[in-house]
Amino acid sequence: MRRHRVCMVCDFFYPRLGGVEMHIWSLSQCLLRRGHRVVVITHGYDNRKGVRYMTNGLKVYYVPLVPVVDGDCMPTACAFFPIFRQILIRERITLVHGHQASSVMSHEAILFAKTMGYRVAYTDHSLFGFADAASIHLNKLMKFTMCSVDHAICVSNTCRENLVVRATLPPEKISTIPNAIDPSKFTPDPSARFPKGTINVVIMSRLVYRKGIDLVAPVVKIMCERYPNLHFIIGGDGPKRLLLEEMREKSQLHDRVEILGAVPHARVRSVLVRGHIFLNCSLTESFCIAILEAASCGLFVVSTAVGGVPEVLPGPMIKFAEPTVEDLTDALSDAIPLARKAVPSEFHAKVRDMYSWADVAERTERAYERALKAPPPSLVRRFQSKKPSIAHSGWV
Amino acid sequence: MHHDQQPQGPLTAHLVSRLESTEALLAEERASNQALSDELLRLRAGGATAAGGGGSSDGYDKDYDSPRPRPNSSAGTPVEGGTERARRQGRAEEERPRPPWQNVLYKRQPYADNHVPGSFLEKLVTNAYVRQPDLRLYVINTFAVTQQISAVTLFLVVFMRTQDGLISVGTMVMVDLLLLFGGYATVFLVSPKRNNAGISGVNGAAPGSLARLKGRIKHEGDDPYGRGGGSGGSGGGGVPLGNDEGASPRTAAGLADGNGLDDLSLSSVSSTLASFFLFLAILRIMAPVLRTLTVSYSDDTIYALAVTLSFLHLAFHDYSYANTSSSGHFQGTLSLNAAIFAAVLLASRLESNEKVFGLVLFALELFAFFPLARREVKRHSLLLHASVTSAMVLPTGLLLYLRHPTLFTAYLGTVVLVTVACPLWLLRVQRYKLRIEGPWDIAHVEAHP
Repeated sequence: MRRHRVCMVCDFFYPRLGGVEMHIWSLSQCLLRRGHRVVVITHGYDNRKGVRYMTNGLKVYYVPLVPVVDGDCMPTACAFFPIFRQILIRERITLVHGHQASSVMSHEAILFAKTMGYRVAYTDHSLFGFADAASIHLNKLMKFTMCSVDHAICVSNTCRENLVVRATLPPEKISTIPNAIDPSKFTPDPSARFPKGTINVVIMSRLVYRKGIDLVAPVVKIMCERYPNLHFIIGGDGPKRLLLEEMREKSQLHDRVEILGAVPHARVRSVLVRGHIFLNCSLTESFCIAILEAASCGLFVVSTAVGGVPEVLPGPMIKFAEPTVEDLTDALSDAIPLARKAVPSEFHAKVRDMYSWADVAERTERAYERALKAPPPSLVRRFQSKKPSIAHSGWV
Repeated sequence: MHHDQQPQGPLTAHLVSRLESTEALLAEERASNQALSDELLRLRAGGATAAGGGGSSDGYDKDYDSPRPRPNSSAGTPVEGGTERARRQGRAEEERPRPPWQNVLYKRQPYADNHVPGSFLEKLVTNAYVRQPDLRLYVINTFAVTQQISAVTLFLVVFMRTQDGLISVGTMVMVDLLLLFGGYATVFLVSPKRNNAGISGVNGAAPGSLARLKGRIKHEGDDPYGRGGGSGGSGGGGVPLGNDEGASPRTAAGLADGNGLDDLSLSSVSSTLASFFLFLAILRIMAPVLRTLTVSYSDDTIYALAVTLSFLHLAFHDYSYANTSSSGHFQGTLSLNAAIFAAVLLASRLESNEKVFGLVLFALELFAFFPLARREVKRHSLLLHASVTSAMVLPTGLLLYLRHPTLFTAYLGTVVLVTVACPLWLLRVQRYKLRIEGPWDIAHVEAHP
C-alpha cells in the first residue's frame, strides 16, 4: 500500500468545533493510524498560532492569516502562496486535500497546489442552491477552482449530485464517502432517561432558520396538546431561541419543554440519552451527523426528508416527514409506539456497524489513489476548462 | 450515447418530457457558450446510458473495489488477499449480477464510491416554474415608466413655455382645473367598487356606476378601512397639501395609501371640495414666498438642481404601484419629494405670483395625484391604460418638438427604448434563464397560525 503524505487545508479547524472540523480531525487521526503522514493547515486563532502537535502527532500549522467573516480569511491573492509552498516542501507532501466550499484557504490552496503540480483532492460538506446571490457567487468560484481538482469527495449522494451541477465536474471524478461518528462516544444508556414515565423528545441543533426551528415551535405546541405524556428537551442556542421561549410562555409549557441553551460538545451524549425520540426538523442538510449520533445513543429518529438525510439511516430506525407542521406531527405521533418498542443497544450496534471513521479513511485512501491515477491536466487544458465557466478568469 | 431508458411511470414520463423540452431549449443555447447546460445534457445522456446498459461499459466502475465484509453487509464475500480477492470478485461479477444500486449510505454496496448510477440527477428539475415570456405583458408594464418620463418632460416643457410667455396665467389655471376635475371624474367612473370586506384589487368587470354610487352611499360613514384623520398633518411629503378627495387635509403621501380614492360618496365630495378650495387659497397666498424663494441663486444652479431632481424622481418612482402589482401602498416618498422640490425651484424662476401658483398646482397634480388616477385606470382596463399613455406621450412630444427639436429626438428615443427595445431585449435574454432545482434546495416553511 502506498503511503501518502497528505496536507489538509481548511479555514475551519480546532479550536472551532463543528461538523467540518470534526470530520477533518477524525479523518486525519484515522489516516495517521493507517500509516500516512498528515498535516493540517488552517489560520491562526487568537493566541493559537504557529505549529502545534495534536494527538498521535497530527501536525497543525496555524498560519498567520486573519479571519474576517465567520472564521473565514480574506482572499489573499498570492500572499498565502509562499508559506504554503514552504510547508508543502518541508513536509514533502504528495497530496493536498482541501475541505469545504466556503473556505477561502481551501480554494487558494487548491489553485496553488495544482499550479505547483501537486495532486489535489477536495471534500464538499454542504449543499448550496442556485437561486440566492451568495450561492450564485460561490458556484462561480467553485467552477473556477474545481477544474483544478483531481478527485472530489462528497458526504452524501445528494451532495454529489449538487456538486456535479455546481462545479460542472464529471460525476466519475467525485466519490461519495459518508461522514461517520465515533460510536464509543455515543453509547446508549436507557437508565438515564429523565424525566421518568414520559416519552422524551430531544431536539439538538443550532436554533437557526435552516434547522427548521420555525417548524419546531408549532410542532412542540401541537404535540404537547395531543399527548399529555410527552416531554421535550431542546438543546442548542441561536437567534430562533426567542421563538421557542415565546411558544413555551404562551402555551404554559414550562414543566414539559426544557430549553437548555448551548450544550458543549462533550455533554451532547448526556442530553441525548435522556430521550426516546430524536426530532430533526432541518430544512436542508447534506448529511446530518446529529441523527447518527442520536441513533447511536439508542434514540428513534424523526426527521424531515431533505437533502441527504434519507440516505443516512435505514427505515426501521427513522421516520421521515415532509417539512410541514402537519406531516411532522403525524410522523411524531407514529413514532411514539415505535420508540417504545425500540431497543437502544440494537440501534447502537447497527450504527456501529454502518459507520466508522476507519472505513471512511479506507475509502478516502481509495479516493486518493483515484486522484493520483487521474492524468495530470496540462496547463493549457486547465485554462481551457476554466474559460467557459467565467469569461476571463481562465487567463487570470 | 443512446436513450434506451423506458419511462416507468407518470413521474418519469414527466421528467423525460421535461428533459426533452429542456434539451430543445438547451440546444439553442449551446452556441452561446452555456457550459453548464452542456454539461447537464452530457450528464443526463450518460446517466440514461448507464441505466439502459445496466453494466459498466462506460468505465465508471474501473477502479471498483470490493466492500469490506461486515456483519450486516448485504454483499459479504470472503476476503483473503489483495489480488486473490480482486480476481475472485471479478469472476463472481461475471457469474451473478450485482444487486441494483441503492441511494443509501448505510449499506456497503458492491459499487465503487464514484459509481454513476442510472438515477443520477434524476431529481434535477430545470426551469420548472418559469412562465413563458409574453412580450405584450412586458410592453404594457413599460407604460408606467413611459408615463412617468412623459410627466416629467411635460412639466419641464410647460415650465419652458410659461417662462417664454407662451402660456398665459388664465390658460394654465384652466388647464389645472380641467385636469383636476377630469381626473377626479375618471377615477370616480373607473374605480372598482369596494365593499366592507375591504377587498382590493377587484379587476373584473365593473358594474354600472349608478349601482356603485348606491353602494357607496349605503356604506357611507362606516369607514371600513380604518382611516381616521390620523394621517393628517405630517406625512412623507413635508409640503402641506390639501386633499382633493378625502375628508381631512392630508399630505400627498398620506393620501397615496391606496385607500384615498375609496370614499366617493356625496358628502365626502362636498367636504373634498371645501378642503380643496382651502388648499388653493393657501397655495395662492404662499405664491409670493415661493416666487422669491431662490432669488439669490443663479439660474444655472436652479436648472441643474431641477434636472438632477427630475432624474432622482424618475429613478426612485414607485412604478410597481402604478402597475398595480404592489400591495397598494405608495412607496415613492423620496421621488415625490424630489419632484415637488424641483417644481418649487423652477416655479421660483417665474415672474408673476399667478404663474407660480399655476405651475406648482400643475406639478402637484402631475406628480402627486396623477399616479393614483393612473393606477385606477390600469385596474379598470388595459386599453384605457394604453390610451392614457398615448394621450400623455403625444402632447408632450408635440410641445417639446415646438420648443426644442433636439430634446424632442432624445425624448422620442427614450420612449422607443423603454417601450420597444427594452421588452425585446428582456425577451431575448430570457432564453439564457436556467433555473435549477433539486433535493438540495432549502425547504420553504409556511407560516403556521
